[in-house]
Amino acid sequence: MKSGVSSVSEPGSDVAPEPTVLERAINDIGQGALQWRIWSVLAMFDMRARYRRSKLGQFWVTISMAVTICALALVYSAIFKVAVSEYLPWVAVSFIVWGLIASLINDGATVFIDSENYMRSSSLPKSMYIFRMLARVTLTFAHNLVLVPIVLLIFLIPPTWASLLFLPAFLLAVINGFSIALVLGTLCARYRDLPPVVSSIVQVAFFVSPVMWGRAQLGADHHVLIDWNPFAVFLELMREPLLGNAPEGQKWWVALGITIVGLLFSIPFFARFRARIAYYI
Amino acid sequence: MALIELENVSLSYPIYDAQARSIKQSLLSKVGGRVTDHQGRIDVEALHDISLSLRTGDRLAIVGHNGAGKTTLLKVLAGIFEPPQGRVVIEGTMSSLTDVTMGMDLDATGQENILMRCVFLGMTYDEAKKNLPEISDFTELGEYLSLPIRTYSTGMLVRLGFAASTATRPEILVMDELIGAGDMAFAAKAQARINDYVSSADIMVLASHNNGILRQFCNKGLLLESGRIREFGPLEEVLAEYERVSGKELEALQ
Repeated sequence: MKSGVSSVSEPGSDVAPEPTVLERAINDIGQGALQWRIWSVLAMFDMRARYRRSKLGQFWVTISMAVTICALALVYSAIFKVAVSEYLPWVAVSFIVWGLIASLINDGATVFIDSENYMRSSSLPKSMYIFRMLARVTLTFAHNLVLVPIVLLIFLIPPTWASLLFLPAFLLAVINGFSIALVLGTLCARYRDLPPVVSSIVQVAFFVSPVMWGRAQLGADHHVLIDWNPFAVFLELMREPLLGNAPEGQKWWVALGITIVGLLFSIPFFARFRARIAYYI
Repeated sequence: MALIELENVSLSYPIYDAQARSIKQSLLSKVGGRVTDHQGRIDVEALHDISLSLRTGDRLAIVGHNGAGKTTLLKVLAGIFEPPQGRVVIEGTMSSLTDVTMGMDLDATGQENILMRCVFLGMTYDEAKKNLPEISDFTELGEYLSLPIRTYSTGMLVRLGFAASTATRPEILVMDELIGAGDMAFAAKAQARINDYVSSADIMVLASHNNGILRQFCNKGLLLESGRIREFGPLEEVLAEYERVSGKELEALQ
């Protein structure tokens, strides 16, 4: 991604380094959040639009997720030689949480491209379209999340106080989704080859992250895939509470660090190129 | 009180053609050591040193040849483009209408599209619902409103978009060509609605090639030439100057 950043920067001649671009960006984000009436309704319509002509509507999200999980659980419990009753709840939660992470990145990348119709003729804050995307992704995730209590009930896994830790973990994930959209959304609007690149990277990340396999399935030599993988950090922080366990304390600090560094990079980046997005689309 | 203030606004419009948009192009041009303008990007100066101020009651007509910068100026006035040079102050609720069927969801019903548009234009969901019967009546689409709009004819789509887009009362209205609608019977009704819509705005800016329409709605004029203000003042003077300039060019051609 670094090379993308440097190649997008343009000579300073046409964009005077005004001291106010950062303030304007922060104002854009604040104003965007305040337009919740618009982005919440748009997100709701987005969700409906996807399953417009079907009888079950958006619950196809839930159903297809349930089918995928059952299939995955049957095959991989056999491959890994683990009992289905042990593997299924784990992979169910894991897969649902991964779905959230993947769509935050993929939809974040196309956030401005998807809204170009609106952006071409409206002066609404650019960040409003990011909030719309975050609301839509959260809504889809909520439809999948319905499966978690069902699975836990079937396999008699009781919720604990640690389950509440899911909320801060989710919040951190969404904040990072916001940062990703600020950067990737802008870059992808400028370079239309990037969205497919992003989705391939997400695809690869799925295989190298502990979504379907855990530490136990991985040889001791390869723990680096879990310990040094930012996807794994967020995956674990959201997955463990949903299974009733508290995640390792150290993971919280890593996630918090990533979030802060992300914001410190993404907001100035957005500030630098925000006014240009209108020309990109 | 609505106001628009532009001070020494200049704007270069970067043209990103399909090739310049790809990373490959950027990488190749670097690797090859070939220096093109801004990495294959062409900058066109669309606006140069524009200063202008509009207050409540101003109805500005923007005239000029194709490519004079009319649309770019409209986009600056509507707050869509933030120019890198100069100062822009816009105060007031804004609506910029270019395409009344903008952003419609073809699979959603007519009613849903009306609601979505109204919310997008700044109504709350409840206000939009309250306005729904009036807008629905105006479209005369009846039963069709509960069908997905992909089943509509073009004329029906325009009716829907027109009725929904003119349901709010923005303080500042920026339009590229006057929006209009539909067949003859509907046109008269649409005319009355657009008159009401335009006259309730504090500030209106309209670009058009139709001087008749400009005379009907505007009181001030601005003649753009290659991105610069050539004339700004009372409408008739500006239109006369525009006609004189155009006439000269015609003569030169002949």
